[in-house]
Amino acid sequence: MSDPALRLVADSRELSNDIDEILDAGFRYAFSLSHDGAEAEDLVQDACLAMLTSGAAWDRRYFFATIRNRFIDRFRRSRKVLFLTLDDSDSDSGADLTWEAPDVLESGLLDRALSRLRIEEREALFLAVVEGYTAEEIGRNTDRPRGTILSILHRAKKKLREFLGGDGGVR
Amino acid sequence: MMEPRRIDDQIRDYYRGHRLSDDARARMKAALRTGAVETNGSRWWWTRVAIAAVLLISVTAIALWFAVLRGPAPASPQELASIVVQTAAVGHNEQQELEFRVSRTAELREAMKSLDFTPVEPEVMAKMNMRVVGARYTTIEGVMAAQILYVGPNGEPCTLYELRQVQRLARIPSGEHDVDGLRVSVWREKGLLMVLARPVA
Repeated sequence: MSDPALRLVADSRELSNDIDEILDAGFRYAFSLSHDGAEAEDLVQDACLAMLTSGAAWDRRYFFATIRNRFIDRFRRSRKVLFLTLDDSDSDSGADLTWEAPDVLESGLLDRALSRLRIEEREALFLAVVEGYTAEEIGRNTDRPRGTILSILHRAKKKLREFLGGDGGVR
Repeated sequence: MMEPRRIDDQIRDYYRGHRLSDDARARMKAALRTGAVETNGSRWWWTRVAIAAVLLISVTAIALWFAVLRGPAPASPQELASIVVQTAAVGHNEQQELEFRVSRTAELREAMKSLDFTPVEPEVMAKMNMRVVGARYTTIEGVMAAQILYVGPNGEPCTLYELRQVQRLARIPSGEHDVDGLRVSVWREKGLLMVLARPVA
């Protein structure tokens, strides 16, 4: 099936059952980048349109990559600082970063804590914790070495722990 | 009292609680369906995809036009102030990289050509012995703003936001707010809306 039009038709049929799930996953990924519901919705819509016009096969990772590219384009246009270069020196695999915390979800504290993370930290955290990607996979999808991803994840968890209180107390 | 839960589980629940709105979902699925049906046949594929794209953009534009005309209930001045103050505090805490390094406000006027206003130095900065260090472009509530970093005599950083007073933000009351360990002041000067975030003394 080399004809892009036929492939799109077939993909759309196969997709019909999963479309809600893929759109939601894409929205969550976009939200992890922008931390803004309206902007995330725009990103997903842009990405859908881009995939539709390119006739690309509907693949979750490709969809994520399209969303990421759209996000980067928007930031470049608005001349904001996007992803910063981080070194790998902060990685400390010995630290316990799977702590238990009081319910910081309902109180909105987790939302505030996540909003304080850098974009690349939120993105890596989302891909690792929610999507279940390995550091290797995240590195492949974001063009970063595995060590850098581990470092970013470590910093993200460390910042969350500092903000939320690592020993169960919430500040 | 809720039992403590693993932070990863809470992060997972947090993101899984976010879903695309029903409107957006319906719009996107309609676009995908249109693309699938109308692209049956390769000869006219690009033409039909382009038509689908134009239709989608038109529908979105009309929806946006109506949204702007009729719009949601406007936020109260206090809600708007709270959003602006929170944004200023987060921006101060993030300390994102500066786009321009300067030593005088006059240099900012030369550098920040993309602003739709001329950045000025509020009188209070001189009174506080604050020295300008640099600036970057940013937005507050969708309005382009200059985010200007100042440093005090003891090296303490302050972040000043300057933005044009668009109609929507004109209702924000002047005043001081304490948020996230910062004191955020809002006032108007020289025709601009000023928002200053600084550590609580």
